[in-house]
Amino acid sequence: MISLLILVIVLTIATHLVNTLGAAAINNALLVFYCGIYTSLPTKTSQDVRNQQALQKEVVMLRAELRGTSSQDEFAKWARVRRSLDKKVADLEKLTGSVGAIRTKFDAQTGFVRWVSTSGVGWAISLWYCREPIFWIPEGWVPGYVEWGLSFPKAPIGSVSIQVWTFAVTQVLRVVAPIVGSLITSVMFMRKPVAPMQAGSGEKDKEL
Amino acid sequence: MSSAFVDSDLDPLEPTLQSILDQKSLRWIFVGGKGGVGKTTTSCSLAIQLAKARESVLLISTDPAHNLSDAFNQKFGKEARKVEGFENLSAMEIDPNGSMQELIEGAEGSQNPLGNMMQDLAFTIPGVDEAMSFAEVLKQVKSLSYSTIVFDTAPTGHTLRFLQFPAVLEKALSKISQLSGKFGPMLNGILGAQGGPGGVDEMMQKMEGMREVIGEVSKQFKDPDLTTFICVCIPEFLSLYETERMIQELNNYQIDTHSIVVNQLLFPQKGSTCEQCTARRRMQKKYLEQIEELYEDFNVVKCPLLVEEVRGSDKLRKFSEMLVKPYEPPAED
Repeated sequence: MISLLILVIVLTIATHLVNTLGAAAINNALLVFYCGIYTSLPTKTSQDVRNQQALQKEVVMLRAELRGTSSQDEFAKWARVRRSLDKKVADLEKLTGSVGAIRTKFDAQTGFVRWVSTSGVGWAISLWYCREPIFWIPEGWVPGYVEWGLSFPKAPIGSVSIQVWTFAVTQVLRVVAPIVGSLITSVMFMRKPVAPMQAGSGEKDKEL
Repeated sequence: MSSAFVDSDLDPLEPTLQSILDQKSLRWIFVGGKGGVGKTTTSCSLAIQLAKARESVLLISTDPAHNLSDAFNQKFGKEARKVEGFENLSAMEIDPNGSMQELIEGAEGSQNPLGNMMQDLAFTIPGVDEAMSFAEVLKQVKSLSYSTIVFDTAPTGHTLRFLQFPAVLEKALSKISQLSGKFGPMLNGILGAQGGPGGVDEMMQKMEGMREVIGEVSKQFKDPDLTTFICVCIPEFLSLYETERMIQELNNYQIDTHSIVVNQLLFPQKGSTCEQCTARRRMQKKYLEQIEELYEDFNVVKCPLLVEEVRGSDKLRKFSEMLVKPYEPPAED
């Protein structure tokens, strides 16, 4: 069994990564998967999505045709194209609305699943090991009431509870993560040739 | 047996308004079109022809410019008046703004400042003045017994927008009555109970009444056996564009329309050397062909441009014949 201390650290880092990097990307990937499966199944959702795509193509074609028809010289044809375009645009709007609603629901559901599997797991572990001490503080380091606070809510006094430890890790991560992020991006940029940068810095020196 | 193949379906519909005259169940006929296309001439002519085929006909105009009075050379007003020279044709000119003023002044009888405030609130509902003036007209008209009513619509073409109002009005009215219910008693207490929210209730009742009338009437308007709309236009691009837009709007409101009157057709005499006339004739012909192609399931009546104004009962009578007997243009070059 992994040490609880390390487990909490790993879990917090993983949650942070998923939340910052992965949220939108995972949603999109899953959506493609979902639509991919769904468009091949004969369900209403797939029908709607397919109809919507077909309608969009038709609308684009009709608009092009309308632009190419002179309203002064061929009014009858122009009016007929305009009528069918208006009808298709109205249908498309309705369909987009319903498909959009499906997408929103899907996003909400995926978000929930994502949250449960990351933060949810964190909370579950917090609750499960709420009485476990993460590590013990040597006696006399901190006054009594601080010891009580560090072991809040259910760990034995004199130790650090999992909730306090999680909190500490999250706060450190919040400070460290941007620093690490900028270090990584600057390393990535350093690998590319920096000729334009030198020209810029040369000008700056002149100004000084 | 190929009895399914009916030749008459492929022929164009007759270019007259005879079908409207024959349809005895029709109660409301609207004549509309934007831009000085000959609405009033057409509506007066139609009313004259209808008077021959019906028991009694009422012609109503809501245009403040008194065009009916000009057309018949006779003064008409808020009360229906018989047209001289006709037994069963009456005409009425209603100024919608005028009737609105009276309504406001009438309701201001109760000097309740709260009531006035609520009235002002009520009048901020978009288009309520149009709806109320129209409802006022309809209430009067329903109480009279005419077999057919011809409406000469306003040049701005907003007349039928009020049909959307039952829904809008319902929401707005419920909000206002909620507000008046909540704040009425409180404000009355502060202002010293000046005769209670009497003004507001009156106002509410009036608006409720209007809403009912509009709701009932809009149901009638959507029935093709009872109502139809005649579009008047001239064979020019803008008029055609407006007509098409109007027809689509009528379809959205589910109001029946199957007749178009094309006015001011120019027929230059044989051997005419007038360049403008021949050029105009060419242009009109182009648009006329487009009209016939686009509106093949409509009755398209073609009326010529005459050399004098169509004013006065006699000229109107002569002109009205063209609505039932297609005009034979002189031979062309």
